[in-house]
Amino acid sequence: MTQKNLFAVTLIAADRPGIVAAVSKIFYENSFNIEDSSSTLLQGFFSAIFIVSKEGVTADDVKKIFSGLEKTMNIDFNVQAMSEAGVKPIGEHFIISVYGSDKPGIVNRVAEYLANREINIVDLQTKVAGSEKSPIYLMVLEVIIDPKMLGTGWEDDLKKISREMGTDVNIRQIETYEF
Amino acid sequence: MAIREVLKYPDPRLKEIAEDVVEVNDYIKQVITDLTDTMESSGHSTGIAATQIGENVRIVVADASKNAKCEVNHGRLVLINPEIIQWEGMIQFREGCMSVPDYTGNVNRAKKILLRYQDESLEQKVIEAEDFEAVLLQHETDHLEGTLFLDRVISKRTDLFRRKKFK
Repeated sequence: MTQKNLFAVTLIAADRPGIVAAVSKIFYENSFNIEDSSSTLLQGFFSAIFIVSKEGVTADDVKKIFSGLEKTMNIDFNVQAMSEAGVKPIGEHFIISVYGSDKPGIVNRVAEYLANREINIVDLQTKVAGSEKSPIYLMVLEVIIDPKMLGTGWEDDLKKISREMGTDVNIRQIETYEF
Repeated sequence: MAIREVLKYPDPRLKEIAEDVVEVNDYIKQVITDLTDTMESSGHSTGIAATQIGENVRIVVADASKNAKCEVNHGRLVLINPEIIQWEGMIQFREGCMSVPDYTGNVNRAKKILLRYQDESLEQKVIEAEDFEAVLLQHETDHLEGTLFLDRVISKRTDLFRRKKFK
């Protein structure tokens, strides 16, 4: 399969109804394919990433196509041409939840440990919940672990790090089956 | 021996509701043989519903023992007119399906089920299945209702962060 001409179109805008409708209308009317996308509401801002494909256009062309919408809806778009994707990680999937009273450095401690062990983060969500007086920090990660890393004690290491931070941690494997 | 083509979504036959089996005639016997052959020919398949080969009858062939991790199971089962009559607990797997290639999604299923079905002599039986086998049987019996795992996928985000206020 030849490499498609891919672009990442990203936007962050004060949330209101109609953002996806307006953006997808432009993709549709200009014959883009939405190959992959993920969007969510972050602190009242709708944050979206669309990976789109279309042959024979450049990132500047794509940016221009959105200039009208930038004015009418007051949304800033970022357009980036996609070069070659990284190698798709293979291995066992785990969900790691780390949560506890809010304090600086939770994400970084966990992420640095995982990086040092070459454990790949494929999904990350964080939230501050609880009351203003006693906020709780929640972090949920999905990671892919090389089979040769299994049984090397990474789970115990994470539990130790969590204890040092005074947080709780839960690690569970995701089993995938094709029926 | 007939290995049949497994229908892929969006084939509309996958959304049909299958008909009850009232007698085990030559046609029904052939469907059972074809289901078994088709399942066996795909090394990793642990179950298949008649709907998936385009036969609109309520038959499932399943074999949880093909999953080495599944220790407690009933081996190969031929289920005619299967019906889940009791659900208990909840378990989450990431499911894929031969009829929906290249996509997997998180699905919540009952951890334990009671399944009533008829065997190849149309004798009524009830079995209790747990964990992997329970999920497998729920996935396959769903096919007979025209339900795909896509109808049951839960979003990871809403699963984790959905908040509901009860007054």
